[in-house]
Amino acid sequence: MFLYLIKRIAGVVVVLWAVITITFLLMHAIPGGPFTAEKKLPPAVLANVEERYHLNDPLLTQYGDYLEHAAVLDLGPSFKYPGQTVNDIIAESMPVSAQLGLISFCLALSVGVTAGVLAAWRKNSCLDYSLMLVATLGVSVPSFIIAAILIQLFAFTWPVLPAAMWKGPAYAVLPALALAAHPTAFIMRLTRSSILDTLSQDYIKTARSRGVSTRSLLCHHALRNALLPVVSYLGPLAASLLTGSFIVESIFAIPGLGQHFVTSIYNRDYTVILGITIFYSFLIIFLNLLIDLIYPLLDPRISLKTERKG
Amino acid sequence: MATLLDVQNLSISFRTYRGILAATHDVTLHVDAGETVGIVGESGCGKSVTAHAVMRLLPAATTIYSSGTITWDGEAIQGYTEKEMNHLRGREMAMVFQDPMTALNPVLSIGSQIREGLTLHQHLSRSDADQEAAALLREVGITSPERRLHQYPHELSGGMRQRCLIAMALACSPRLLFADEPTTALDVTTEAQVLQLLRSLQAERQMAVVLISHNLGVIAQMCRRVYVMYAGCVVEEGPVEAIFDEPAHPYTQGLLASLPDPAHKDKILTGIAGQAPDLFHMPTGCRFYPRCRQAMQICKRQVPPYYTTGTGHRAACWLLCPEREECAWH
Repeated sequence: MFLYLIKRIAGVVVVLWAVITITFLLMHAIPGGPFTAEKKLPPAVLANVEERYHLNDPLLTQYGDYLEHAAVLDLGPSFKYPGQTVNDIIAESMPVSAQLGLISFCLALSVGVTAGVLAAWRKNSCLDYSLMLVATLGVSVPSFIIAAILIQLFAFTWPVLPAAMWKGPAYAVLPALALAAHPTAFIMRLTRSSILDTLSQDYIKTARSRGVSTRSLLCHHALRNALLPVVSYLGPLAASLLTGSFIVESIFAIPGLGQHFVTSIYNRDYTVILGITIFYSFLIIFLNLLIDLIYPLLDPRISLKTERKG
Repeated sequence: MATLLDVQNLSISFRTYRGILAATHDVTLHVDAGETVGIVGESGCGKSVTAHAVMRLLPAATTIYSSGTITWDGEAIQGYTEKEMNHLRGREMAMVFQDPMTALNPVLSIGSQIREGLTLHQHLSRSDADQEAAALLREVGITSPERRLHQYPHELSGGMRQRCLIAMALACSPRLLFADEPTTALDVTTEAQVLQLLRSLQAERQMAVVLISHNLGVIAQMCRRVYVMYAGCVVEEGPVEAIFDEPAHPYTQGLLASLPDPAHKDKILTGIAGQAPDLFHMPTGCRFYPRCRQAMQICKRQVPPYYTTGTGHRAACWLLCPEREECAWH
């Protein structure tokens, strides 16, 4: 177990290095730079600014410098927001995105699994069909349309909730719903099909032959087996929800990380692009590791001991 | 002895994409308290379906109980709700399944799966149930049972798992145990041990056992009475000795003739020509006539009734009809 963790953490370093390298190369491959604008800067000023940010160094030197700083978690200054470092930007906008993401995550997980179990329990009933209709809509309707409908309904037709901004708990409701719609629907469908699959297994019949009630069959015997695929989906889902969604954050004018990620690419704000990419990759890797640590708790057949191959 | 289970004219069909599939037709059988009864027949002849139908373990959405009655201890149980059935299942009747590799829940410990029935039906506390579970495991011949309780199915061998399944089935001292091909998935030495175990448990606990098997040798060793099934019908029934010594139905005769005989190793094995009918296209009349060497005209047209033979068992075959010669059916 300990050895396993060490191996995995060593893997994280390698993956992050690869992510940095690929992003760095791609970023410099797109035409333009942080200071190309419609109104051209005087060459002397441009040279000065490039000197200031070491942009006139050979690419390899820039790359080396960046790695050096990244190793001590210094993600460098932003090119577009003078005086702010990338660390500042992440520290400032991450909590907002994370709060919103966490609410959506809990919502998606609890509602998705519950509805999936209900649909599987009442397979081919009215309840099942209506839940699956909602789920299909949730999977196929993009979040900006759901957001627009939510705003229209709850901010204009019945003005019960604020339409935008981020000033308190009430402001989180609509964006959280819009953000959670897709994962909820996805988890619902995944849970339903996984439970139905599990219910056709022999051991369910064995349990029935012992007189186990339907409720206990579903919750005790089937759910734990059926949750494995759902759990696999949770790692990437949590990472994407926690780092925020550009679309939902734009629509609701939320000062989150997702917005910065997209605007930084428009602005060729090299350090911000790299910094947020690294942060996002780290979250995905970390959450996947967490998920891998959860598996053995659900299924005793999965062991984390590193296999010794003869 | 009192009749425990009485099945009369049970016909079961399944809804499938290809249409209605008749799995069993007019199956009549009974089990007395404390006796061991065998059901023998080839794959797909309806032996498991009959047992699963009694315990109502067939998928409810696609199963049609077309006709017949199932009586348990004098009470018709077809009208029972799922809740009432749960009261019977595990407590009054239990089942041991064919494949011990898949019949145990992989994510629950052996202990929790055995305890389940005990806490459910006998309302034992956790620690009492634990003790009882350990005692059950010891009874089915598992060493250091306390340790096994904490183990998971994948940590045990096939034979051990089958013993655990038997322990589980026995947990609430059922009066009837269905053993649905309990040794098919096991190797021969383990098979002998498990059969021996079933036999001694049956004798000690005085419970009735319905042994479902395609293996005539197993049936002969274990059972007092036997039902021979073919294509969803019971074709012959009676005491084991009578059926093995003087099989009356051509199908039973064919089955017995196809057994290898260690005394005559150079004898060429004879099988029954042809194959079991497609359940979607059942022959009219006797279901065995397309493969029967002694088939007559009438076999094709009319379903044979049961005739009692000289040795006191019954078979559904026109050959046994007393007026056969006079009517010149050939």
